[in-house]
Amino acid sequence: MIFTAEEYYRAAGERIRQASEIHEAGNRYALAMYCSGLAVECMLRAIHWQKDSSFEGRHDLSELFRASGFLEIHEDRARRKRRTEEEIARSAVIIREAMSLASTLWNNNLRFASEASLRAYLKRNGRLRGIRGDALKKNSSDLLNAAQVIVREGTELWNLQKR
Amino acid sequence: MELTEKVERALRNHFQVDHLDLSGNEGITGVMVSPDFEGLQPLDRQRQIDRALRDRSMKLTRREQDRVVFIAPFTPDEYGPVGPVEDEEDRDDILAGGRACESLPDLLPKVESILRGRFRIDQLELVDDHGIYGSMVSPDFDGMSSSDRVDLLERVFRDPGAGLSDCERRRIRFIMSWAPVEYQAKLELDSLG
Repeated sequence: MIFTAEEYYRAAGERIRQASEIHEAGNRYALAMYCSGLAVECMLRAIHWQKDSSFEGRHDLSELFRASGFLEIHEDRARRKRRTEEEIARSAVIIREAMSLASTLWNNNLRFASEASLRAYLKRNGRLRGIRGDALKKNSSDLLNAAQVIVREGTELWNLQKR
Repeated sequence: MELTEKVERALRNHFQVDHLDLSGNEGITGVMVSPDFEGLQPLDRQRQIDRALRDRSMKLTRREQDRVVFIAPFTPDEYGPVGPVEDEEDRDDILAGGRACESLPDLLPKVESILRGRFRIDQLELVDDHGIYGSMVSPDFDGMSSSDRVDLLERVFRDPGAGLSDCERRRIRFIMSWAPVEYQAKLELDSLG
């Protein structure tokens, strides 16, 4: 099986939708979180693979983000649209926030995690502090929201590069 | 009626649509811009889209709903910076302004110095790859949300005391911030693979 940029792009859309469905079903947050991060990884690979398919990059989201040039492409696009530097900076902050959260919460080895292991991981991460109610659900929701931002922005960047 | 037409009709029936671009046959993906998404988290936008597609009056079967893979929901403000440009060919001159900032060889040590002066640093790695990227581990990030950290870094780089020009600041792309406990948890999980 060969993974092309197109394949990664399609997978990103499928994974983010599946992440939403699994999250909404409740009590399957380890899988929902794994799927959310995977959607981000697929989208970053799709953007990167459009220019260079040689990068291996393991499963490090920050590293993939850098290699994909995601922010540069986004900023070039905004400048072409004659957006002010202030507007460009504001939209870049939204992307950085989403990437920062996704990189903190997601790890490729979450694919092996039971709900109990996930809870232990989040506890070590300091992500259970101060949360009332279901802490796994809250973290899954946070990661899903961040992943949606990256996939949303990536979808438009992908479409524009294809035009 | 084609599936894309049915999906478009369902979406237009439920949302005030500024822009809609759907594509694909086996799996539909696309972009929708609507002021109705303002103030909504991405997950809530997805819920609203799903609700629109499930509306029985729109007559999309379950199978057809499943073929809608992902519709990227933007508010008009969010879409402004990334949407299509009508006279694309005429805009290369505009990029020249941004690209004038591309060669700043002294920026990396400058950024490192700013971060070391402002934060207690356990670990710092920076690279210049069409912009400054990197990661830092600092106890100063303990208990802070990701968005607060990004805001804090923005403020540090915008502080006149940092002495960065606009050009230099634009070249700082992404510095991943870790609290020590997070970084430790990441390393432990990495080692399990």
